[in-house]
Amino acid sequence: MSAPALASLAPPADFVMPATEAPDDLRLHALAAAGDSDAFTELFRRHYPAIHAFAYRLALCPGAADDIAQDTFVHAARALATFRRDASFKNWLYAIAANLARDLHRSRSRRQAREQQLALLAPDPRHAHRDHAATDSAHAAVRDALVRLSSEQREAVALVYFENLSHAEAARVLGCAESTVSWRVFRAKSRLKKLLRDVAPAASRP
Amino acid sequence: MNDADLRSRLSALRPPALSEPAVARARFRASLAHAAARATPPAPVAHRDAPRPHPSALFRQLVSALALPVLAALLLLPLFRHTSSPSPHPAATIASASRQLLAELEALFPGQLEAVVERNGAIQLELADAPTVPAPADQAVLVEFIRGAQRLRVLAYSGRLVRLRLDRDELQFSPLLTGTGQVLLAGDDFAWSSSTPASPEALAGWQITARPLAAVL
Repeated sequence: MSAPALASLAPPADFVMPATEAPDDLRLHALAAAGDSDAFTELFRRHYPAIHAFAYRLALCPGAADDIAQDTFVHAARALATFRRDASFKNWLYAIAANLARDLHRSRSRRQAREQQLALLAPDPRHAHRDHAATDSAHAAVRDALVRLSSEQREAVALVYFENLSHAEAARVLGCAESTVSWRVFRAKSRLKKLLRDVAPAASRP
Repeated sequence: MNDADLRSRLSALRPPALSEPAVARARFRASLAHAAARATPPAPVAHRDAPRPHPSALFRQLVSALALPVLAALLLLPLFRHTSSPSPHPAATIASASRQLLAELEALFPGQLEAVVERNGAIQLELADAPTVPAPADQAVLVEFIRGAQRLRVLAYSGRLVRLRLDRDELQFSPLLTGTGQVLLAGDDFAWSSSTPASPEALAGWQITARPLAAVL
């Protein structure tokens, strides 16, 4: 990918997050940025599962989650030098993943002109065998409800409800105002409560 | 329904189990990108004396296995890039470099190599999740996409599926080598032939050239 295209995926240059995580990530980043492949693979090992889960909650498709998670680390590898060390490395990865998911969404949206609208979020047949959870009715209900949100609302829900970021942290990841995130979460919450009112809470299911 | 109820319901959305081939491919591609980025001057290091991490033996083996293809790709990149080199036999140089690159990568990933893509100086490998029958070397084709100063080169095999990003879209096509030495590209929404090389409408101004690698000599 060209440098301008890469720059468009990377979080803003002034991306800053509170350094709330274990300092090891920052040490590993420094080593990886200096070319240490062991440090980079350790960062990959630590964060790939979380980034993959985040990508799945944005795209709601196992194949797309694989692609987004992979590309997140490819872009991160090329852009290590742009990461500000007073930031949270994991949240920086979230920001890259969110940008890639938006690109994928736009790209697939164009294709949808020729296909049915929900094809975007249909399971990738190549990975259908992996989406065992989709056979769970509660899982399917939540997925269908999230499909009905806008991509901006889904990003906000994924960061605040699934990744447990504060509204301020989510705003920094998404590059928008905290009030914007709060509004998106509020709208998403209202919609989800209506859509999920007939779904049994997880704790009450066997 | 209160917030706690909503959280409880949302927790039913469990991400799928990680696919080990997908993780391995992601790790491989990220490691390649990291290795390629090392060719540029490194960022200042604040904690060079920090304790090194202790990745698993598997990671060490993987990184060791990656060293050769990365090295081969970086060393061969200059040859792969300069089609307009003023050397006495530029075509021969390109072909031999490309063949050598393919041979190195085929040896490392037998039956898994689908394509080698060179984009703005960066090399990207397309690997299948599972090995298939290795493609014969004489089925290799060199496809170039050119638009203004932008140039992508793809080394692939006849009949294999190639996926690459053009602008913001993913392009999928199979190069097909005919018995008369022509190359056809069969895509999702375009078809192209080296015998009638007009730019397909679907490719937004990208010009294509393609030839069998054997014919470059």
